[in-house]
Amino acid sequence: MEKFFVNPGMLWFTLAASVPIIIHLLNKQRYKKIEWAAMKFLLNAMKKTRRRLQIENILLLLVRVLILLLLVFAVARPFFQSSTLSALTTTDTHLIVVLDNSFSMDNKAGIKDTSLDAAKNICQKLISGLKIEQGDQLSLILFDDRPSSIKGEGTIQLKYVRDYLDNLVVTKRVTDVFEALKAAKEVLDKSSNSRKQVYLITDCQRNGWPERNASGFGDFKELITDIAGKSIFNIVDVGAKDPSNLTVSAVSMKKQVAGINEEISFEVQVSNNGPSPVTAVGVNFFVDGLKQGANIVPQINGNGLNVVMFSHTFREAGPHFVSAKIDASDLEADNERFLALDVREKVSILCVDGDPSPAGYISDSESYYFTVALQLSKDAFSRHSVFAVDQMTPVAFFGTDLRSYDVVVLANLDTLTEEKVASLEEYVNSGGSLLVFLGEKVDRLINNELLYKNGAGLLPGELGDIGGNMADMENSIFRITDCDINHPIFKPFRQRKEYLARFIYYQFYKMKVDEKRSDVRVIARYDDPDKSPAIVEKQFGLGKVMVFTSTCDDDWNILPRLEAGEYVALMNETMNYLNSKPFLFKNVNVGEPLQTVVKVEDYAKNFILTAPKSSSVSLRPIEVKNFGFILLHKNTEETGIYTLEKQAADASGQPPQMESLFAVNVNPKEGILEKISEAELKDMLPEVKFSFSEGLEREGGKQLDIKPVASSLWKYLAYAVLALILVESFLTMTFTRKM
Amino acid sequence: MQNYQKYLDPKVLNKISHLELKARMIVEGFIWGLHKSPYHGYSVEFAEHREYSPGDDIKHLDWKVFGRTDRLYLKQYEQETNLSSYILVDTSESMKYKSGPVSKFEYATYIASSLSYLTLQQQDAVGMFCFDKDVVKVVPARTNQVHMKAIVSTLAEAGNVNKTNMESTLHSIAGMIKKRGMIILISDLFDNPERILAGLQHFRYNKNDVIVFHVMDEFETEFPFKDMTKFLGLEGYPDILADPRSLRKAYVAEVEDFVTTIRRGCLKQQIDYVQVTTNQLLDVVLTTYLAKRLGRR
Repeated sequence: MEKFFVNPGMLWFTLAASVPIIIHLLNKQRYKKIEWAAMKFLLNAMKKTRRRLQIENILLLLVRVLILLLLVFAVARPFFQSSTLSALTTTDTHLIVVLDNSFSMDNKAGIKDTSLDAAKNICQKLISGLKIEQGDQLSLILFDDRPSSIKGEGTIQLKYVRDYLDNLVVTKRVTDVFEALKAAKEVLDKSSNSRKQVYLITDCQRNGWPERNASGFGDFKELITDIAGKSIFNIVDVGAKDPSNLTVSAVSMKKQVAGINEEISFEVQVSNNGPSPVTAVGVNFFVDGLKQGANIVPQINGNGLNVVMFSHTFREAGPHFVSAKIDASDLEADNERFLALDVREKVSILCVDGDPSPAGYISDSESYYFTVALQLSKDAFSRHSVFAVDQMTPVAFFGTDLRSYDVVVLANLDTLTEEKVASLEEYVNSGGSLLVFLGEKVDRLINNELLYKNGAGLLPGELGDIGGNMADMENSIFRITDCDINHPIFKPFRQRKEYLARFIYYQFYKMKVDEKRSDVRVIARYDDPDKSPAIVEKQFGLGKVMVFTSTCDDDWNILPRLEAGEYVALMNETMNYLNSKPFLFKNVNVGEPLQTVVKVEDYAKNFILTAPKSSSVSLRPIEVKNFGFILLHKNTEETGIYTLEKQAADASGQPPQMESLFAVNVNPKEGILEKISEAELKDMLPEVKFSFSEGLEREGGKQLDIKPVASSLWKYLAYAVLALILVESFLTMTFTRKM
Repeated sequence: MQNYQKYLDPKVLNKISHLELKARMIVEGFIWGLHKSPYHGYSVEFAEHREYSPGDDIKHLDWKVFGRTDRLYLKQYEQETNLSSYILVDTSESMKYKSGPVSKFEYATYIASSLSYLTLQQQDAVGMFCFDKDVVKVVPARTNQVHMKAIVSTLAEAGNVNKTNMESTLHSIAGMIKKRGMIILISDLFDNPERILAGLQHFRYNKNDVIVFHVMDEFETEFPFKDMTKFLGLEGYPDILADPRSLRKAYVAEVEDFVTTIRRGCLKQQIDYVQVTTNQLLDVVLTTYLAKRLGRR
């Protein structure tokens, strides 16, 4: 009977169904005897009513017996497993298991088994309760931030799934319940089974659920309401109770450009994702895989973070990587974090001087201060400057190949040719940087025609009149009042804004900037009535163009002569900024694509990308319209350092040449294990009907109690009982009224 | 004397054992309730004069005529013995049914004895036939007051054992009555209505006045039973176990049907039909009888 009923014990009460029959029989036994004279009438009456009476009696008896039987059955909660009956009843179950295998599921919380182990046990138990041959179906949906269905819907060989589950490990991705439920909904919609059960097995990380005030929350609520309406929806929390975790949440370089032989500072940020403070966290620092230092973070407050600094001087130029690792934390995946960087031997700067000094008066040339400023480093400890400046006259400039330079500086340049502008545009478009200083020699019309091109050219704005007047210096003093202090070039002034106030300009070009354009940005403005732009930048293709609307030297302003080294700092930061090639596709989170630009001459070469666990793929450059060639690699499921090598063009046997390094890290967000509670979920989703269980199958926790899944047949039985009771009352009423 | 009226109630009568006394009580009680005594004028009506012949009772001499004519004449009163009443009492088994203190047969004896008493009081002759499937007892019609005793004892002796067979019985009784008079049938009429009516027609054919007292028990008309009941059939009918509530409607319809058939048949044959139930006061019975009796004169 256990095979057919959830509460087989209740079946003893079916005997109660005989009660109406017994009452009926007893009634027949218990009667009065009367001698009756008017028998003829009685006989006639009997003859006429007997048939109807019998039918009525039998009908009533049947209804009463049926009421009792159905009531008992309803309480016993039947489920039919034989295939013939299951077609008639509602027992063929589609079990949809939505299993979280994001890396937070790897958390042990001090015990032997991880959350995933518990989840696997629950899965196995759920699966063992299925009867595939009797119409039950299983869909297993694994999810992190992208759900993947195992073997689609139904028609699964259970053994395959079981083996699969046994070997299942966590991914390195984050949790996204919304996406997972979308997949579950799809399966649910396709399912033809009459009963559907959805088990969402997760560690219930708060970060995995949409926030209540997020824009997509309405859709999420609708989705989950729909799922819970179409199925029996269970949420199983397999996460550790009150989880805590330490995460290396960031490793960053303090400089924008790393050069050889200069001491580079790295900041390692450690987050405490638990409520209670943690003390003495050991942090190890590695450069190119070798341990270079260790430090201890004395204390991190609950749900807070702390940073520790490391420094390193690279002796060799080229791709390098650093990593930071903390000692102990139950969740391993986020204990280490990598940073890939390129160390430059030098940054080549071509400075085209439109106003070179007569021989012997070096300091009179336009670019003198600029060149000196870059030779000095603001950092007193590093004796080496990464910047190598080639000064050049405009005449020489016209014959120079720009591609070997990282930055081209045009200082007070009077002449330009269309041809040169075209080569400049190509240079910037493919990632080069252009810095333009204006001045008395600059021809407004030529510049507007060749460089501005009504907005299509390199210049971010159209040159207007000259503002200020050098001849009347005392009445023509302008300062910078309005500037974007968070821009990287102002980094040294962020803490000391008073230094910015010392910038005094006497004269400048008024530049008309269309500020609605997204690729143009005014970084600083003068305090003249027009609020004319002082520093403007424009994104042009892959490269940047920056314009200082005053002079490079001290002709129109006093900047180079300021005593505290403000000019040096500003120029160095500007160069750093213009050189900072986007790290965007070099250091990514798991799942994000790796991307790098390929030099045009290498477009036909073959590249090999080696993942951390040394599986290699070969990559070919892809052409991107109006851009050039790139390498793209989307499969970044492993964390660590990916190496890109360029193969020799011919089969000469030359070893492949290391081209670049990439770092793939886990999203530190997933390390925040804080859980969302049942009460919160209920509060968040008040209309959604779901059952919530926690601590199942964990050490010291409850075992999952797999009751044979009872069909909702009992509900219909209960309805039937109610209906029959009404029918019975109605029949009794009509029959007795007749009497 | 006032208390006599209570004897019209069969329940009260039931406590009196002597049937003749019962009859007297009924009649006295009934008569007492009338405004005008029915005795006046009855059987004392003057008819004609007749010449005295020796041996005649001088009590009836008309002295006024003698004074005027010197001839002796006797006053001759009308003879009431012209009217003979025959009371036909059904003594079949079905008559013994009773739901209350009085059975149908007992009630029938009350009717029979009180009508006999009343008839005899009026100097009329009364006879009686007791019958079931056959004529069981016959009491010839007499005017003698002592005759009451014969009627009462006959009724007392009658038992209720046999089935009814009304038609043939009525035919044979009709054959036995030579002189036309008043036929009073007291029965539950549990027989085929057509046959009963056929039997009654025989009396009407002989120019008799017929009154039918259809005696039924209240329970037989109302059928008020509630519990499961086994009805033991009288007069050879089988036993039936039934839930009376479910049968009541059909039963009552049957009875009404039967009564209507009888009533219609009687009306057609100018027979007075009176349906009485054993819990009814007996004045209905006597009023009907008297009305009929007066109408005849």
